Amino acid sequence: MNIVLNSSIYTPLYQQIAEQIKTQILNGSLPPDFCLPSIRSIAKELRISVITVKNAYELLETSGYIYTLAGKGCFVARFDNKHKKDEIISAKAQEITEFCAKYEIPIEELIKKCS
Amino acid sequence: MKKTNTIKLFKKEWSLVIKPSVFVFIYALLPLVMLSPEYPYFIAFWFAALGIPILFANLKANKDLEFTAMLPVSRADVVKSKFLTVLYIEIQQLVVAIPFAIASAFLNPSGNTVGIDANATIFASALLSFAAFNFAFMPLFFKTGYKTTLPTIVSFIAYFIIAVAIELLVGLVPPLYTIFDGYTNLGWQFVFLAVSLIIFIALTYVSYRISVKKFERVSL
Amino acid sequence: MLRVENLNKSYTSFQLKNISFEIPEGYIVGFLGKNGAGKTTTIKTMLNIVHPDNGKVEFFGKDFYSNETEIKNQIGFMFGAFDYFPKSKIKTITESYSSFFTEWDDAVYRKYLKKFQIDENKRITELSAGMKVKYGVALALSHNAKLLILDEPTSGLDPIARDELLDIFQNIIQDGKKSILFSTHITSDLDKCADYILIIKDGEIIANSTKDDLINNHAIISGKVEDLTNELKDRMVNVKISRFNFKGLIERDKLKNSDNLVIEKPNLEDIMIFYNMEKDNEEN
Repeated sequence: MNIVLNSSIYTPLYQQIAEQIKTQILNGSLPPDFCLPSIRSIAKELRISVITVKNAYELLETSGYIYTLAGKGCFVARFDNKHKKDEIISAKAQEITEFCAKYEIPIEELIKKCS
Repeated sequence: MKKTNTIKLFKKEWSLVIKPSVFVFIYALLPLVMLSPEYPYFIAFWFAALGIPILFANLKANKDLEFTAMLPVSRADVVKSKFLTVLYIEIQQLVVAIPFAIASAFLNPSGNTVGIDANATIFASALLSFAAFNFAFMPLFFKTGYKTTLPTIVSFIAYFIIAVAIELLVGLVPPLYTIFDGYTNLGWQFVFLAVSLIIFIALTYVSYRISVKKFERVSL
Repeated sequence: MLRVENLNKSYTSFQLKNISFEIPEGYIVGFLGKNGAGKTTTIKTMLNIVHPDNGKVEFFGKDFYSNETEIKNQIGFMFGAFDYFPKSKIKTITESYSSFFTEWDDAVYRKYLKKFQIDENKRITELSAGMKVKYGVALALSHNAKLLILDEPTSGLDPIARDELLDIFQNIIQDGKKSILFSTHITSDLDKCADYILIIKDGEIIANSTKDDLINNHAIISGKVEDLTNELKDRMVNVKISRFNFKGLIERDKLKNSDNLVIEKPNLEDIMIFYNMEKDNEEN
């Protein structure tokens, strides 16, 4: 498991941690039922607050990426990977649509720029 | 639990603040002056009273009370242990003086030319003077927890008023003179000694209660 | 673990005003404030070393003032450098100190002595300032205290020793059952390991939250001086104005979309500085 933090960017640390674990779950490097390191050990090793890690785990748990077994720890959830990826794609699509609407850019133009 | 804490604090005093060897040596030898036939013997006991303010100044220099505040002990324990140390010094001085007094009685059977002889009266006088000293010094010190000058001055005055008053009464009032000076009326002298001991204990206990009350309110 | 409620203490020139906060089990709480803000007085008052005028202090659910001896056995505290009994040997002092604690753990103490490279045959006067701090910390850590209260434990330590100490702090809270409250005026100590932050200013607690919330709820904003309206100024905690721009701290929920500004994430130092600055200090 890799976590690389950047404390100078605006994104809160707990979101950065959650985002990175999420990516590793989605790309398969953290397999289902993988036991994640304890909150306190991550905090100690990354030299960050216990609460930051706790918030990251809570965020991952509410969005269904991990589950907690009382007394045992946190594990990577089993879920339909494809379905989850679709969810992410539609969320991103919505974001882009809103962005285009705000700046009155035709989506086609944006797509053209991307490729 | 409480008792052991007081004993531990008492031990702490001796291992960290008082240099036992120096202290015992100097103070144990001071009653030597009782062997002289021309010396006011109450001064011999005053040396012990002189050591006590030095000890408290030393406690201050070592930030002893601040250190003690970090220990799991109550303020009453702290005060109690300081009283124990003071009593130890005073009683040591009295006990060590006994053989010197006996020796003096044999060496100078005609007695002391400048004060009460080395008899039971002088010990009674010492107990009463110590009682006055403790009553003045300890509550005044524990009122602030750090000021030693004023308590020292007041307690020395108290000590000398009592010691000198007894010396004058015994030396100048004829019936008292015949009973309390010399070595003939030891019976009455021991009665006086017993009464003085009771007064010493009572007054020191009162000083302790007042000191605890004052020290509870002190901010270190 | 610790609950302080409406603690007050008045001096002629200084006042602790209604100090209230809590320390939960398993966390590191940083107590931040500039020199003279009241950190040491707060700690001393809640431990009854300084007599409070009024207020309530509970440790482990028990009233401190009526269970002082019992509670002091279960907590460890130290005020900065150890400067008691300067002429005594460390060995002698430890012997005496340890005899008072029912749960003194000599193995743990030896471990810290070794880690801090403290020679127990040395006298206190022979120790450097940093060593005195380390010795005090070693004493406070060695009787299995559930709560550690350390006043300026990093003062006088070099960056490497500070880092080591913060590492030790994070180790201590690993089991989730112990907590640490430590005061400092060095914000970078807290950037790393603190979970909660208390900020004290002029005897008053002005911030009390998780470090993450404190940081995430604030923003550093900067922009052109002509964009600094009075309305914006009022919304900000404080602002510094130079000839070229302004820079200030604002609570995030007071930020409006219409503000055309550069927004940055603050660190504890920014927060501490802007909260402690006098309002309206304009240059030129």
